[in-house]
Amino acid sequence: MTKEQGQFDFNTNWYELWMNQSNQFFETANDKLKDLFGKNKFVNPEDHLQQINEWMEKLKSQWEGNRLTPDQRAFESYWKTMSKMCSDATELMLNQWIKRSREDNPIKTVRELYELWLSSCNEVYQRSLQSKAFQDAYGEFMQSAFKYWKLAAAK
Amino acid sequence: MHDTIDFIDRANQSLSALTKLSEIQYEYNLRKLVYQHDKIKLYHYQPKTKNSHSLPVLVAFATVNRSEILDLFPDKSFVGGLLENGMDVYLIDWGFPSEDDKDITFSDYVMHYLHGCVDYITQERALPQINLLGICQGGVMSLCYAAQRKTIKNLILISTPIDFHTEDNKVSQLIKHIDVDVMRQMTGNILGAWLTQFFISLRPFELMGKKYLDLMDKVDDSAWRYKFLRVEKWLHDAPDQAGAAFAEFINEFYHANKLIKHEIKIAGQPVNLSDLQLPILNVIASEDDIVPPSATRVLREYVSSTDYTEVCFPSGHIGIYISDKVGKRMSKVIADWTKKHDKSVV
Repeated sequence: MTKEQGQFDFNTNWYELWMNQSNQFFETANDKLKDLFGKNKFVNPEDHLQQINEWMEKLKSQWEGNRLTPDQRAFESYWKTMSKMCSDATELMLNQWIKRSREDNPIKTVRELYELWLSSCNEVYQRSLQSKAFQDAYGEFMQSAFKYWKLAAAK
Repeated sequence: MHDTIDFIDRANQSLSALTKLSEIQYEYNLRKLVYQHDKIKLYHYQPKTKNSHSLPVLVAFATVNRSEILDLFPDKSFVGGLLENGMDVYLIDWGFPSEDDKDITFSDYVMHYLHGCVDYITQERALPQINLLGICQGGVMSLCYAAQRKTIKNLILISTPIDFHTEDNKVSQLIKHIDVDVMRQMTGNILGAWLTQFFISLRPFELMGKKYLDLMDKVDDSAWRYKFLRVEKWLHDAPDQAGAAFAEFINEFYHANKLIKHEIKIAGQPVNLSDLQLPILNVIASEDDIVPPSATRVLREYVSSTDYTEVCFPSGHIGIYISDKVGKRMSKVIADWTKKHDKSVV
């Protein structure tokens, strides 16, 4: 049996997950940081730390466990680990943002900030992959994910 | 504000493109189904040159993904490159295992299905030996087979893990916390969707974030979009895995690292890598994070082959077949090496 004949289509799910999270990034940035970006406007992030920190708290909240569906509750430990990583990534992003401003290579748009966010997440994630705490949570997550996919496929 | 509106617009455009994924059909260089055993199919590609090499090559891809990646863009694919360089190519399609196949073992894949294909070609072509090209897990199968049978003249391996416990092996580090037997008890087979999730979870911010951002940027470029969607279709086309074989592969190879300890048994017979005396071409992707070069390079230490060649390309585990950086260079290197080694055929 080919995938085309299968019962469950996973093709767009990953994209929707990414789109929802990215949407949140852009919407919260628009809401909280709108006066930091604009045409020919280069703002020093160090002058707006309180505002940026408020936004970063919003960003971190996307990994909160209460966003999990009942079927996904078993992912909780992994989600907490991801939440910690998200927190580390936001700190790294802010440091990089400040560093770039000091080096005369400022972030000029929300889009550039988003790319910095992705690269910070990637750096933190790749570092975490080496830790036992992450690997334990990951094993539990993938085991649970298997049950989840099984349930999804049966529906 | 402009950024946000632009993002939402383009994100929706990209979503619309992705919903057409199921309409995409794979294309291939001209090929013919020549042999079938259960769900396993053997294809023979139509040669592209008049003077093809003296010996056919049988390509054995991994079971965990579809072999279509080798011929995803027929005009400039890996298989297309082999054909243009005069190779006579056969390819195994391992199929999509169903519940009935849950008890197929790793030994069955090697000594039943792979052997069946080799046997078909040698008999059909009246040849004592052929060349075998194994890729990743298919490379491991090929090694096990070549160590026990004398019907292989030259062995070519791409991204084939030998030592599964090298320090930078991310897959091995993560998979040691996963109990495949428990999964097997749940479903019999291992779900392909789970495998896709596993591979994405190795680099989620690149394989989701960065990748989909690129899609948004270039969604209006039809040529680029065509290429992207074709790869995306392949990525999400991982077949379910025969439970017994997959559990064996994870437990014996990944968890216990038995291949380099000479403790693997195929159909009851031990596999000793030092029994391998045939010429070997070992192809490595320098940026491979699924089978890191460290896992592959050690092969030289374990085999008895005096004719051992190693080639490294600057690419990743999958990029090596589709990236412009590598292009058809890999096909040419393999074809040249094979041609040189075929000459010694009696």
